[in-house]
Amino acid sequence: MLTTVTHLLDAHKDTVYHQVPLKYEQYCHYMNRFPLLVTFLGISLLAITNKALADSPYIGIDYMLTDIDIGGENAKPSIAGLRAGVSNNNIAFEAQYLLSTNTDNIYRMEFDLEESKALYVVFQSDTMQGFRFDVSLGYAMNDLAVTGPAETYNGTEEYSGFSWGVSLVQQLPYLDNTQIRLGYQSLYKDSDLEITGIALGLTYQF
Amino acid sequence: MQNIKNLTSVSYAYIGPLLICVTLLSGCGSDGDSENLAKAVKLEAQRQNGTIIEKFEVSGGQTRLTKGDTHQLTAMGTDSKGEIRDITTELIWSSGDESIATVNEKTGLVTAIKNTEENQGIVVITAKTINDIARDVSVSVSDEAPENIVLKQVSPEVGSINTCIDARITGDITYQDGYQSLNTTRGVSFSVDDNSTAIINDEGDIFTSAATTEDSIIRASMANNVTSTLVVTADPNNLSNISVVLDEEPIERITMNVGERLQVNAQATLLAEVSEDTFDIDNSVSWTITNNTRVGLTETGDNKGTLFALQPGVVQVQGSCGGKLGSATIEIKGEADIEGLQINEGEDELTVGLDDSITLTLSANYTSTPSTLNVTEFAQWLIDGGTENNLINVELVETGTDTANYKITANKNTTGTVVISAAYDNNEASVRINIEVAE
Repeated sequence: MLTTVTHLLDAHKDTVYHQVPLKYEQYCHYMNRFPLLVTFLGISLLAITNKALADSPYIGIDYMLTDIDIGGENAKPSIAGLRAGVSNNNIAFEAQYLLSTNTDNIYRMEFDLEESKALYVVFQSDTMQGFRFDVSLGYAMNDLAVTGPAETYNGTEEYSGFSWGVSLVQQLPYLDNTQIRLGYQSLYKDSDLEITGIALGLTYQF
Repeated sequence: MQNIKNLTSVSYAYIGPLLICVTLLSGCGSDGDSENLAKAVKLEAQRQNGTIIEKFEVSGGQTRLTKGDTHQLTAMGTDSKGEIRDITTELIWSSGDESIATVNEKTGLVTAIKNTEENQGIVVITAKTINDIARDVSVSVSDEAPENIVLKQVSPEVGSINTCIDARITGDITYQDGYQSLNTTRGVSFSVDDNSTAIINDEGDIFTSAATTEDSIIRASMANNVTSTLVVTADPNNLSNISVVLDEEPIERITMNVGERLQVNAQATLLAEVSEDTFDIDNSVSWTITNNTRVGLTETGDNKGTLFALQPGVVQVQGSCGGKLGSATIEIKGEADIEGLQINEGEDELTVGLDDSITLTLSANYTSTPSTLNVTEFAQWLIDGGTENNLINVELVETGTDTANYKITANKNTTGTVVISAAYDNNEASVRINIEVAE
């Protein structure tokens, strides 16, 4: 893992190490264009610190009704997908991948949240009477497609940035290691656009 | 214990790199153009609702400011349905030279930054709609002195104004550098001749109420001894009727409980052939009450037209202007069995330092509910112990509210004693005011 990371860094050494000081725009360009690099970086750092790939991996499926708040109007397309993570001692590292299931319109403009990829650190409360409360902090990359008549707007763009969420998790009484989860997430926010969602899902803990 | 330490250290090692990842990534923005997308959505909403602006005009331009002044520009737009609305806050405002004057991008409020003689201090302010229709107006920032002012009526521009209906005077001011400021009252002080009942404020608003046609000589004064006069004729003959209004609806009968307070307004209509609009005439109307022991009426000030139910009974409130009268009947329910009066906490003596102030509040105490009412505004006050101007000045403040009070301000030089008495509903209370040198 360490060798792999070094190789990747070397491959990009001209841009990462030799263009110093690295301009902010260039830095973001590469960070946004190489999510895989980022994921490897994260996991590699975990490997470096050792003992981090810990006791409780889990997977989950979610259905999310999103709310896209833009220009004083709202569209509510839905998305669904998978979560996977590892947890240890009330902290988890989680990846989320969601795909569009339904679009919604604002007048003649159709909004489709085609894809959402996210990484989170999840802070988990102790489980009490089968219930647990989670707070997630992380980063999400959202591809939003807007189509409509020529005089409106047409295009697919990525909206990426800080993402957070809160969720209530309940252990299912008759299914071991299985939980139902109700969550609220902020997938993206800036001064003109906000993407949030309410998700319902199931999680299985290995 | 060692296992717990291991788990804890793992967690901390776990979090650090993850948070570093998230922080580094979060520092980057996205590729999306949310600003243009939001604009497209707003435009589409306007398009579908028929509210998209097709043309608009900006008011307030061609005005001279001096450094530090602020000035509000406004815009009225016509949409695709032909309806006119105020779109001041829907526009995007920008200044052509922010070193001379800035403008708030969202509100259109201009702030003068620097006086300049260059190009008569003119700055172009641009207003643009979301669908890219733009208008330019200009303002000037300079400390050049005025040379001349020409006064004019705003509405109607010529002929008589309608008595009771608020009217406006503005001026076209020419400055020594040749710049002309149009339709402005900035830097102008107005006055009215003593023979007129009209009132004018420094914004040029005129309030008239005479029952007969009346000429008023309006005088404008500016710096550099620039003055001008204008004769304005107010004609009440177009006035049709006056209504007493409560909560924006004309009303003929009001029911109140003892201790309750509400504010009425006045509206006027003109003859049908003149106008079908309804006009608020609060600035011009005179209010009277047929029995001021049952209902207290605030006749002037910010709370003009406020009624305070004092005792049960039936009275009429009347608003008069331009020889017309509008009225409503007020029925007051409840009880008001007065027990006595009290000034402030009931002290016999109060002390005030030279050039200092105290306030007096007269409370009527009742055996019924409510148990106490602030009747300061409706009592008869008497000052004994020297003429008012020698030792104290008095002023009734916060009228029309539950905190109305009698403000006593001591003079600067002379100590002494004054006895102030208040009479209300066949009861009396008094207090001795000692004016002393402040310690």
